[in-house]
Amino acid sequence: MNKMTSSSEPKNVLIVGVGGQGVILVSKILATLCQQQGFQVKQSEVHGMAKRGGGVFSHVRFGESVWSPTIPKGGADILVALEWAEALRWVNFLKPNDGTFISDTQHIVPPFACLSRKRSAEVGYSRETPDEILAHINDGYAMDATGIARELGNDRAANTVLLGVLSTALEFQADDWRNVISSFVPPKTIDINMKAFDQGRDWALKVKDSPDDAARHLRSEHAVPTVPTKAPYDAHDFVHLDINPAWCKSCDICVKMCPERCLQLDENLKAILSAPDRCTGCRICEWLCPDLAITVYRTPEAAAACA
Amino acid sequence: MNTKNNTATAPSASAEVKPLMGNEAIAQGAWEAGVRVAVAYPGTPSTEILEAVNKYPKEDIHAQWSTNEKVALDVAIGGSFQGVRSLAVMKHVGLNVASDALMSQTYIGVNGGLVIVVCDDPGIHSSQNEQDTRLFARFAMVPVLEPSDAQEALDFTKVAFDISEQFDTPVILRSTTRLSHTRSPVALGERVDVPPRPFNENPQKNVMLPTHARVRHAALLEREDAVADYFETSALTKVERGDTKIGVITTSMSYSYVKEVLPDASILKLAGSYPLPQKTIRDFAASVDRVIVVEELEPVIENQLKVWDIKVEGKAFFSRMGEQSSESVRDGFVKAGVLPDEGKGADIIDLDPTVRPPVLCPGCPHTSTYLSVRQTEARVCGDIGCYTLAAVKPLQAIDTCVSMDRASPMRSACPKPEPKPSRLSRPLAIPRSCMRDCRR
Repeated sequence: MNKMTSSSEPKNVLIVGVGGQGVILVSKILATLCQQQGFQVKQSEVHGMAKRGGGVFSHVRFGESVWSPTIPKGGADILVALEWAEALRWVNFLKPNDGTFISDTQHIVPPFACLSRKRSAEVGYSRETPDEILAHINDGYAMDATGIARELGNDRAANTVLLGVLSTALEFQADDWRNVISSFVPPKTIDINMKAFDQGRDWALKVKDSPDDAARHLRSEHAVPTVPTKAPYDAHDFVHLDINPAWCKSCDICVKMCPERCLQLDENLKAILSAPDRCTGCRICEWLCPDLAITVYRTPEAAAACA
Repeated sequence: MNTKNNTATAPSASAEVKPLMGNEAIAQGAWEAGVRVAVAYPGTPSTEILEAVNKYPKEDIHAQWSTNEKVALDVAIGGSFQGVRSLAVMKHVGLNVASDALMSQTYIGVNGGLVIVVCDDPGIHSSQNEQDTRLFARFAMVPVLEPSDAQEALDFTKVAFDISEQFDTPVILRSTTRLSHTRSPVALGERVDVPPRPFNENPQKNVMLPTHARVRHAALLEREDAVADYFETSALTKVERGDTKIGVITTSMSYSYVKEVLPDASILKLAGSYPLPQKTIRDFAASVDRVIVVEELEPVIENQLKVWDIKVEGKAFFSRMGEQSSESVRDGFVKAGVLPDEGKGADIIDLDPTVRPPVLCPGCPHTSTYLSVRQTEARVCGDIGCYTLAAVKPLQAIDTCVSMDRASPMRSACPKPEPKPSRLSRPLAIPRSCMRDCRR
């Protein structure tokens, strides 16, 4: 049993993200590991909206005895965020002075982020950069976990990258983490998940070992830059629409519902982005398309990757 | 302090211990209790119970979804008449639909044990209202058990069947969203084999005619006293002796919040809020200087104690609405002068969070339906499910949503055409039958 048992106060870990990202899987992995290590655990979540693109959160509390299943504001020892805006929504749940902040800097922009047709209308997405946020936090880590996972071959392993970072904030053995993760992920993805875990863990250890000045720089080393938030901006630098003509059935929904009127049907009646300069990357077309033919990428790297 | 109660989070070492959601623990409890028929209509936060029941061997439990909650209860009642332990599961608003069956079945009682699991949704995470099922239990004169964690969810489910058969009554096991969706370690047990009872040849009890019902109503009142007596000595009613300045009477999830913020108080933890063990409560109240009742939503316990002229406080400090938490319970005790006001800590960063409303899934086919409907410019009577999201941006395609399956009848109340209607004056219904929630 490790030394955390010496404290009678439970440890509070808050895990947040967007529906479909794997918030519940991450919390199940953590809760199972804690139980294996001999702790009492309560893990609490709210279902129902999870598949609807809404915010999802899960409280994990473990210790010698745990009563309330939820973490009060200002009471979280660790915040693990699978998405940047969700990290900011919950950052004030951290203990003000000694909370650990771990976040993916990928943006999942809500479908209604920009409904205003006015020039220079603001896009409803957090403007704070990782560096600005980390400046307020003693122990913070912001990284493009999704990008790292994508390079490994499966961007769904992003949450395992974050588990690697989390593993350095708790005192369980790395191999115990690896065993529990392997028992939860699909067997075919164990290799990628092990690599993802090690990358997150190694990076966090490197940050911890660095002298203060270097560490400050390293803490957001892999962060995704924040996209300009005034619309319309030079969108083609930041937004790329991937429209699969084979799946488009000319239903016209995206064309009719685009708040910027930047989509059209071409001569073959396939949807195209006819006015890229007006596109704000608001993702309404992606969300509405009944045939999942449209994917919106909203970062320069992602845009370059699929160009 | 009474140590036997520390089992709340500490299952015995010998049994297999597994982390289970409250809902999964209820399913395990039903299986262990020898239930043979389990029926439900789905709805957050209750849905996972029948899904979990369905994982047990088919020869142990027959599990089925019904077309609505009343039919679910009817099927379970059929199982009870046939002498097997039967379970009906629904969310709080589902009990409204099933109440017709419940209000008569409570007169009839049971043959095989009959337990109705009802999951309330304090805080309205995913419902159309915040009603408190404990009021319904009192209304129907059906005992209600209110577990406070997953282990108790399992244990109370088993006890519920014993109470049901011992006292010839349906029993309501009341969960809440927080209990249903919190995972904690649970000690698993073995299934007991409960052989089917023969049909009870007793028309005076099985057939509710006026002459029979009058007799049964009297039996109901006797039953209320008998179950209250049972709770006086039941292990489910627990007294934890602590600081005698404050005595807290509580139940369900509220208990865990009280333990979190007032670990040293004297606590009377009740099995549920109906019927109440009056003598135990009086003795407890007399043993402390001040009695505070902590319960989520309505003052069900508090009001009864006031009728009995027991000096208690409660909703003066704790809200009648919303989900409780350790924070809100702490705030209540601060208001009561029990805890010092330590003020709220300052935020780390002052931020406007990104608005992220839930939306229909990417590619949801209902989207196209709604867009077509919108073009007709008709008034649209919507219905309950994820597609109620069509009420908000960007679809904005439905105008009303009241309760389940109500769209079609509402539509039939068609007003006379106006001279120049801005929207078609004949309303269009989107009945539930043509809008299936993809989670089902």
